[in-house]
Amino acid sequence: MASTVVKLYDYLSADLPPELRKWHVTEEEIQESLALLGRDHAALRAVEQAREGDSLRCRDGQGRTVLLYPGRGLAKEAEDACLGKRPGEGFSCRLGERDVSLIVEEILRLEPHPVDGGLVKLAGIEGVEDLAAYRAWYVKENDPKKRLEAAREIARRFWENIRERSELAMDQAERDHWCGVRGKMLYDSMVENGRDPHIPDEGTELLSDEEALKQMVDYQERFYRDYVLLRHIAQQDGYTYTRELFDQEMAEYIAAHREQLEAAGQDLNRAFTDDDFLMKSEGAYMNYAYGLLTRAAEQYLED
Amino acid sequence: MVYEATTANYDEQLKAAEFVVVDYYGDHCGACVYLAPFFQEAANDMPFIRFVKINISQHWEIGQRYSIRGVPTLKFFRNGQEVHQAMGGMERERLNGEIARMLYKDYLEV
Repeated sequence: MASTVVKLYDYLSADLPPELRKWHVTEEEIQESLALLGRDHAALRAVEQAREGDSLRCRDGQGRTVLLYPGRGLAKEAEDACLGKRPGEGFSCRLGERDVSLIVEEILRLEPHPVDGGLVKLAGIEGVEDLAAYRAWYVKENDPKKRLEAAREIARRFWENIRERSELAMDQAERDHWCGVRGKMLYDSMVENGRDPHIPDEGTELLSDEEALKQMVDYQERFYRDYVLLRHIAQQDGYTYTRELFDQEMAEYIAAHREQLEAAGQDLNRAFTDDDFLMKSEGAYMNYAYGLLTRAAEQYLED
Repeated sequence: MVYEATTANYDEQLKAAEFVVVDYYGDHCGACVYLAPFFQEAANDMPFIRFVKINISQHWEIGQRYSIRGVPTLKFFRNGQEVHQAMGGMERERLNGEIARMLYKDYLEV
């Protein structure tokens, strides 16, 4: 038996904010990209007196390098103390937990490249030699990405509504098995990566191995609900992730990454189990269903 | 600027400056994409520090050598020695905090 979706929320009828319909590149974004390009191609100039925004290389009493970046807030007291100082000049300040004496060795100032045709040429974009061409290129490059981002944002809203407003009929046996497999997989992964699964969600008394695993398994229920919904959405559209598809994908993945996997000590001759297939199906249904929701979202976008 | 490292020139990148920050990133990594503009911004804004990135989906030998468990991972080096590391997508403020740990490690304890 499998859990089923009794009622899938009618996400196509969702009332969405009108600003989500917008997706075209704006003039503001073009200007920001040119400003960023100007900073990428900034010139560094040695200067004689430090001000906010400059970068200082100093030396402490033990000859160690101390870098200061006034205005960036990495070490505020020291950054304030170095303002107005010149190369060769010494000053004292608080740095971290210590009082230090520093000597300024070098001060550099960034000067962004002016936004002009010269900057555009430095970007090295084929066929783009002036600002007008840059604008056209930027729109052509980024409009499709922005359209996709906007569609994905609407798809996320669809999904939030589906999760909150759909009704499921839970099959306890399938739920227990799915959560058990996923929970054990994540428990083992935590242990392998040196993270302690015995820390409780509440309270301070460490959990036993059995309790820790149960905590991890119970935590999976929210993901199991998502899995049931995503599977339903995909299967309603005619897609079912089969064992044959799984076996084919695994064979292709191993073939493409054999050297890397062998170097990592992976057993490439291990037979994949039904539980491996079950966990992979989660990603397969997620990808399919999100793709479906994204395509549905496109009808909401402005022309 | 951010220097793109490869397996071939990775060691050379670590020796190129006293302070080096390396972003180990991977393909299909949303957190890596999130971090990238802040990393670029810091690189533009902080001369004297070398900012390096390396795609360990492509240069997986480097990922293995440095035991990179997840992406993005940032490692902070001084004179070629690792000072500390940080993981996950982060905004400029947190990135600045991690850079400060590298720069002022000698002064953070009484």
